Amino acid sequence: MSAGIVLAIAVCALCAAVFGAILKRGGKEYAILLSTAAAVLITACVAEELAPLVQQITALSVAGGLPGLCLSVLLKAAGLTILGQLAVHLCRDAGESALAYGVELAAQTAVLTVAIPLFTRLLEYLGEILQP
Amino acid sequence: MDVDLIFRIAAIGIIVAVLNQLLIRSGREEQALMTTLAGLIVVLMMIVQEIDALFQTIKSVFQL
Repeated sequence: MSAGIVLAIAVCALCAAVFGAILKRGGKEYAILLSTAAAVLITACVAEELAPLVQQITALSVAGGLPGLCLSVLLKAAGLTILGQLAVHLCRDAGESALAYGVELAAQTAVLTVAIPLFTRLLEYLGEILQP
Repeated sequence: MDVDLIFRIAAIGIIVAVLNQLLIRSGREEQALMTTLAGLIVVLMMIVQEIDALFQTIKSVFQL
């Protein structure tokens, strides 16, 4: 990610913050929608920049002999966490902590579900090692 | 990055706020509420496309 993109994101966020402060006087719902739009745009931009990085990490893990399951679980957990945290923070900004908790719980459950096969394999290894 | 979206939403918000005030001052509370709702739905429709794009990007990048 180049410095120009970071600058663009910073300016975009600042614009959204200023407009949000203006819109809060007219009605809070538009400020929430504006911050949602800005956050989604910025996250989408960062996710697009992340694609080559993920490819490089995949290439490195293949070169290092890491099993495919490990990396796929890590990537899926990262993606789920990014989406979940975005929604959680947007809900908290809108003043809905109960909704934020629901989303947080869903994201954690999804990450756990994704990680279960890896955990099962770890337990199998442990069982093999500990067998007399 | 489509920065125009932020300006568009801000403009819609300001216009709707002004219309809202005008309609309330002229004693048409129901129409003011309808204007606010219509503006909200328009902005929501704009945001939903971006959210879909974000979901698709994250799905493809992280192989979800």
